[in-house]
Amino acid sequence: MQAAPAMRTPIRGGRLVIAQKAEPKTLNPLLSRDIPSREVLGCLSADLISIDRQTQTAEPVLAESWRVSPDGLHYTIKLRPGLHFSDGQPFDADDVVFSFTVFLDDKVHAVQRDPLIINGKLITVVKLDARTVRVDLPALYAPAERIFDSVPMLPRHLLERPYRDGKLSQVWNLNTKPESMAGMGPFRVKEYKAGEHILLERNPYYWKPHQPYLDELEFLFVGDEDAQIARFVSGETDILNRVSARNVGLLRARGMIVQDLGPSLEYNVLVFNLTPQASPAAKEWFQQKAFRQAVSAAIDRDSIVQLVYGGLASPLSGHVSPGNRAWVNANLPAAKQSLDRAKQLLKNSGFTWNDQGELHDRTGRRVEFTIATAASSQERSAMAPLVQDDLKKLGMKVEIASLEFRSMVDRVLNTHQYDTAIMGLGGGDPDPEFESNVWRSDGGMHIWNPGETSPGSAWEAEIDKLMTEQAVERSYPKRRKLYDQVQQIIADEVPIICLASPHVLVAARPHVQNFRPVIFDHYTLWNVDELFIQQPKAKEQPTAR
Amino acid sequence: MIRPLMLCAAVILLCAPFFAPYSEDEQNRSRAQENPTHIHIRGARPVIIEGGQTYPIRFFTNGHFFGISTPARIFLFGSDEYGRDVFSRFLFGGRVSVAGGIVATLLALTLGLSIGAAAGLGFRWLDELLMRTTELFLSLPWLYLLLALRAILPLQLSTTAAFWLVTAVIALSGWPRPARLIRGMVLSAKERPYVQVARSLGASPSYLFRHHILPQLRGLLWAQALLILPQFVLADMALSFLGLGAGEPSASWGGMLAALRHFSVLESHIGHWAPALLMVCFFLGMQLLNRRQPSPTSVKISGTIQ
Repeated sequence: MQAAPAMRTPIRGGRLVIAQKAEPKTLNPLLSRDIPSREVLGCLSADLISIDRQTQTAEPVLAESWRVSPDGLHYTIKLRPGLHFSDGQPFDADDVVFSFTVFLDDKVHAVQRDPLIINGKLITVVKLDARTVRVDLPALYAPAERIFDSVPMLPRHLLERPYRDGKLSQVWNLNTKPESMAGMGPFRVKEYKAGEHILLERNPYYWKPHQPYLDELEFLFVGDEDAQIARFVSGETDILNRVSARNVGLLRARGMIVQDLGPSLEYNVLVFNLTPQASPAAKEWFQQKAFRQAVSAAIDRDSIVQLVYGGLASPLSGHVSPGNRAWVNANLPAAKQSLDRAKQLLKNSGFTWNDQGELHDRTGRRVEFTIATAASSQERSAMAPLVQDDLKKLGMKVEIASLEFRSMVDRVLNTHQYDTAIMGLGGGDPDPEFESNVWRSDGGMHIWNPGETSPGSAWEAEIDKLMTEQAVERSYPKRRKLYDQVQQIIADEVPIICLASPHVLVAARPHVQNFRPVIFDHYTLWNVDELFIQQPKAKEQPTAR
Repeated sequence: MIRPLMLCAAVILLCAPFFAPYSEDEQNRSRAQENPTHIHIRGARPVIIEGGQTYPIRFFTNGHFFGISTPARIFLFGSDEYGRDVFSRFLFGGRVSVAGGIVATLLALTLGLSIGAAAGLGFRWLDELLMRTTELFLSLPWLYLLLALRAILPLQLSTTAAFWLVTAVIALSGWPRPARLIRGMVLSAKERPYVQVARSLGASPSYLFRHHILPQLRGLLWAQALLILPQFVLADMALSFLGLGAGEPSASWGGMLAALRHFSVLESHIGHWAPALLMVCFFLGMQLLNRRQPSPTSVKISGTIQ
């Protein structure tokens, strides 16, 4: 990781250009499920309290301060004075109450709703005075401050009427006139041209004085990464938000500086189908811990790191990436390839090899299964042949099935018609509670056995118990200890085999200042209000590209 | 000249296990993304110099046309991201594509001949039925059907099953055009005076077809075979480019071309270009072979087909 550059005196002016792989689908924060939409909306809106992407701690944004009751159930939040939306209208506690009312309304189906449900019950928000609100939690919740992150404050003066009319989902699409929208973020929409770009301009009412420094922020719709690289190299864009490892050499050969921020919060896994719908043979093999451990021991993670990521990734022993320093269990032993150990585990479980070296189970069936991968993910598709080759050394016959992404997710989460799959997880909030839907038996993303209503094994019951305890434990050291145990169980039972965590690789042109990328999304624009251009370009009218 | 060259190419591709120095799935992870091996001539013998040592290239060794002693490796086109020999994978991939193209061509022509002949010789209602069926098959979006089919088939599709699936789809999508041409030829041929005389003397339809009509179709069938074979090979490549067909570690020409979609590969590994260039030469050769087809009926036929 590189040290943060020294702060220079900011210069106001200029336009920063960043490419997007696809156009945003909406400018309505309630409906934004796709990454491009969230990327733009992140620059248009602001939260009460945010998690600082560098320090990982809660910091006040629109809130001036907050007080937590001794029992941890009540948060009294004081708003900053004199705040205004980007259209000049004042922002006060009524807007806060309105925003949460909308998010919590199940008829609205807001994307922000789920994190605001604790133990199956909704939080409540009460106005105390024009600048003060109280948020009441239905139960003690350790990461309570984090639920405010990425929950944007909405303008009651613009959205109350459509909300009462039940038309909230129809407002603020890409064709909405900019003057009909307002937010609390550093920018506001200036122009949208289908197929070309969306242009944002400085919000003159932004709550931080003298910020943002940039006059304009332009999101160019460029398509795939190769096209983005070409645009960046030619100087048409200023930032590359996420570079694949395969393109790093190309960029560096052209004198571009690519920053390697170290392991991201994402992790790639091989998941076993432990559902009742798995094929009878696969079910029998995969239910044996020793079999799963043998497969894990046979996989050469170092090869994945070198050949798939060109060394720009970290092999994983557990599911928490080493980039998540606050929560990773550093005591887990490194998962090194050991074919001898793998063979011993299989032998002890009654597996045998014939004269051709083919592996058979105790009933004489040849061990063969498939690995499903999403064709759209080049990295995960590239991992599969390496895993296939490693397992061939154990005598296993592995076929690779390359599927369309949604088809693969459907098989894993819904129909369960697969044997194993290589998937990517993580990348969101590093706090373990925000990934609890993977580890809890009844979680929606409990990928190895979704749809469980109760734990199917003693170790899953233990994980449920530990996750419940850590969710209400307010002491970070105690929480960490509990989560360390969860990581230990997963590493031991191996319902998923953790393979590698890609590094976050970003690039910016030298004239972009205050560029302090982080591994927590948004990697490069999290501090967009602080970015400035050393040599501001003359304000130009957007031209056709 | 072109015919023996193409024959040679076909033999090399179909005998890939012999001509390739390595198997298609043999990984050498420490030798990933290597450039093509430099071959030197020492004392009129080709050799490789690696790590200060000289390794002669041996011919007809270990069941292969050529090879080299370990730990040296001979990568004529370089190695891919897993350290697999690109030249060997080119040959194995070509074997699948060309064999698939040949089988699909035979299937399509068999179907086309059967249906075209039945339409031409049969009753009017049969002709109508078969020709409407032909039009239906011509209008179907085969690529999307294949994508949908792949999504509902079991995940565990063996290399053989995938090969036959792709070949069958290509054949099913390719028989209508020959069928229509053959129907036209049959309709024309059955009105010839000698055919009518034979019919009036009591010859059965099958006798008429075998002895009087089929000989006239030989030139057309041969021309069609040369025309649609490269198209079917290309179709097979397109499907494997999209990820359909045989999966890893099986090599395929389409899969090798897919790697060239990425800017980083295009720029940095010249060895990856060699298969693409050879594929172009293959298709050019097929086109030249088609144009030089010496059948006496080809002049009239080519005027209607092209």
